[in-house]
Amino acid sequence: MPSQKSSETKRFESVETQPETRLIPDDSHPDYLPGAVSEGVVAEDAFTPVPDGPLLPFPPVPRPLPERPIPSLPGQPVPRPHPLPTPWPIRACAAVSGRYTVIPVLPPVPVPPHHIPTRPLNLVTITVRVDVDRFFPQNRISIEVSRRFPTATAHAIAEVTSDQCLGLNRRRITAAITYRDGDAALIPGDQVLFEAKRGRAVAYGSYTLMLIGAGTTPRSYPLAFISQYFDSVEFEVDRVANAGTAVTTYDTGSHPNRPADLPSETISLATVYQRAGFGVTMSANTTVIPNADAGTNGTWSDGEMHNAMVAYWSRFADRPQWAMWVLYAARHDQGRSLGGVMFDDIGPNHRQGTAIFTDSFIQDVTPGDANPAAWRQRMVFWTAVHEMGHAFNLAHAWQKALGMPQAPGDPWIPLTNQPESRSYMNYPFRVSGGEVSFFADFRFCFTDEELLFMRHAPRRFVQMGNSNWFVNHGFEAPRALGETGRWALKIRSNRELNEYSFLEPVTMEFKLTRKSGQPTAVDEQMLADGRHITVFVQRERGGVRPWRPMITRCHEAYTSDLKVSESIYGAHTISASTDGWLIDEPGFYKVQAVVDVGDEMVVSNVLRLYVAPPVTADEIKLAPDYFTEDVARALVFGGTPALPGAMTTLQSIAARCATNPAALHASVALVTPMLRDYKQLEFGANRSSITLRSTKADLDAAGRAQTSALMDEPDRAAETLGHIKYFGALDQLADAMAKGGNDKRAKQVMTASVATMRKRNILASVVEAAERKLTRTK
Amino acid sequence: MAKNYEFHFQEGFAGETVTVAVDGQTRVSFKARTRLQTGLARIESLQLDPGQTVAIAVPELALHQTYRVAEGDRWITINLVGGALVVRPAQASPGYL
Repeated sequence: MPSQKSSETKRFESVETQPETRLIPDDSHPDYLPGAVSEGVVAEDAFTPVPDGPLLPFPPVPRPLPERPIPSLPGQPVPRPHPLPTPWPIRACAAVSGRYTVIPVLPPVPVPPHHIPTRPLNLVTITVRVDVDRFFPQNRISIEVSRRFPTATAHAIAEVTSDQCLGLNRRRITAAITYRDGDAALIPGDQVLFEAKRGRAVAYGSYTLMLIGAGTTPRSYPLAFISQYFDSVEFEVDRVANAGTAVTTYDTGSHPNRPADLPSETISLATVYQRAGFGVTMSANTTVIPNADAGTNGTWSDGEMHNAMVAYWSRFADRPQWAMWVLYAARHDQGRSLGGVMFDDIGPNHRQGTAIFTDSFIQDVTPGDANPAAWRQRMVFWTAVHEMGHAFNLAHAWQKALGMPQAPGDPWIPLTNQPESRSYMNYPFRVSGGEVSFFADFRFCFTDEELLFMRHAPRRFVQMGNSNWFVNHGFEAPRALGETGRWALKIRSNRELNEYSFLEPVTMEFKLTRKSGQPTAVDEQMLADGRHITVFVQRERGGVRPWRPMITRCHEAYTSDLKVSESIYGAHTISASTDGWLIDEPGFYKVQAVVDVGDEMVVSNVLRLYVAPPVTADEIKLAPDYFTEDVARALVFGGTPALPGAMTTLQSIAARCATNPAALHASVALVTPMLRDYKQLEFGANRSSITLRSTKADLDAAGRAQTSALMDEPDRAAETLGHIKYFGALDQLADAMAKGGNDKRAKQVMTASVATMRKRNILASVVEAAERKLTRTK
Repeated sequence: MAKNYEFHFQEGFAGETVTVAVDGQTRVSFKARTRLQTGLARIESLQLDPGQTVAIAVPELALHQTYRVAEGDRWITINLVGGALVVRPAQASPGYL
């Protein structure tokens, strides 16, 4: 359903309901750690200048100091103006927490002629999250690696073991890896060293990450600072017309029941999640939803809320994204006992929507409370943060240790229940002493375990709407690779519509074209040999699976110079892989390929194809016997008498599914072994002996059968087999006929082949080669 | 005089069949599954008289617990914790978030 935002949006006054904003600046907030300061003797290298950097003037110290480079002592408020630490020299380091990315160090890309712009090829993206200061530091460094080809991901979390401030903005942090997910080889070593050094001025100028481990060569990565936040997220707040004001702020000093030292300020939903480590954007699209959308009963079901989310959320999409929809409604179908819910466990992408019910028990003030208005404001605000926490995949405090079976490959650190925790994720009325006790100690924050999860867990665990990591990414990420402009790789099916019958093997042709630059020597067989090309197949809404060829040819390298606009070709049946059938059900599929041309990876177009449902009962009956490894091998190898079961199945397909194109593949596979003397190994009893048995070619019968299969309906056969396989089969048939002395039949076959080639606009050079062969045939 | 009692089936249910009987007569039977977002599986309302005995059972786990209806109660919570059914009256209407 399209979003109704554009025309029907009514802006409600302001979701920020406080009369004025009183937010304590970060570096004045007692929960904010502005950096690190070391005391004592200055380390020897404290004033070692960075390479090519100037020596720090000594004294005077530059004034004013840029961007809080000299923090106060941790835990102490920063006086205004900054007092200069004395005596000089100082060891004070500003905050370094935040998100970094590795700056790729790549081999230079040759400048092509005509100054065609090129982009260096970066196959690996590394994101580093450093969490040692600012709000609620968890003393962790997490590393996320995504390799685009071959696709692999890895994630590691390291626990800080040492954090040293060695001089003015010269910081060294070491950490030990304690958690891993994904391909461990992408993050070698078990120790992490993070260094931040001042640049030409006083502020930090360079950042470095080093991975160290016994038996591994240390690896060093230059980092670029991206943000003080670990990820960015957008919240969109909508409300139903009868829900009243959407409470999205709270004055922490407004209710008398609070920790004595709790700073008094007005916090918002954005503030809470910013302090949890996220760069929050509040969407400007705030909509008032008509009461009628709740249905005739006036209350909301989960399904109705999901529909409203699809209709009114400007960012709605069936895909993972760092964005969330927050709905303020009056009441859920469950009644007054439901104060809020992360309702979105509908559809393929969960955790995108939450709801807060303003006409529910969260308005029921404890009798005798000193400030009922502030109590209500606090409870609604608390509920909103709580439900949004569920969308970050946080569980209730008392459910953390539940023995829920985790999704394969999604293990997270085992947690213990925290039934007394003062967290947004605990129920205030569930702790000992009830809500009065809860809010007396509640500091408007999450627990360390929750912050650790949100900031450092593999992002698919946390990101709203995320599911299987490889879904989508396997196709989307590599697109950036094929942009040097020197090569183009195209997948095509050689048919008008990319539509296939059920059971029909899907054969794809691959075409690699030199688009620019000097002529380049390439292996002519690189698209055909199965060694240079990787193909991904994804059933829509399913996972991505790599195709692995059943035949990989190691041949003598034969290279030729490929000039601009010249191409090489290859064809593969991609339905079946060495680990099973990839295309075996009706539905839509996507196919994409990557080829290694030596100095770069070239990524193809994404080809979307459709497999029709079965049309006969025989197709359904034979499918279980057909979609087997043996049948796949028989089809790919061109028949395998050594696999009698597969050959029997193909006979059944040819006989009982004659109108299905799969019958044509089956016929070719059945007949091909008969075109030559066929050798077969046979084992004696108890495998004590091996006999090589040869079956004589039956050229007469095979010739007739193959001629019928390939030439009765040549267009149909060429379409389903693919041009390369079809004309290759005709070539093979003509050779067999000629070898058996039937030159007349051989000539007929080649004549038909050339005619079909011309009709189907086959490459001139291929037609000419076929014509030369025809001429040679007596 | 009979009045309404709410039975809140909360944590620990994973699709088991639950039966609720009053004075030996089965009143209701259902499959209970805790929704983790809220910590609630089901709310069942029954008209009861004080003094009646409500038997709550999860046959496939061989669990059984009884509750004798008290005049002052109105909300009764049932949790499946540590392999046992825990039945307790609540002082206020339980809320879920």
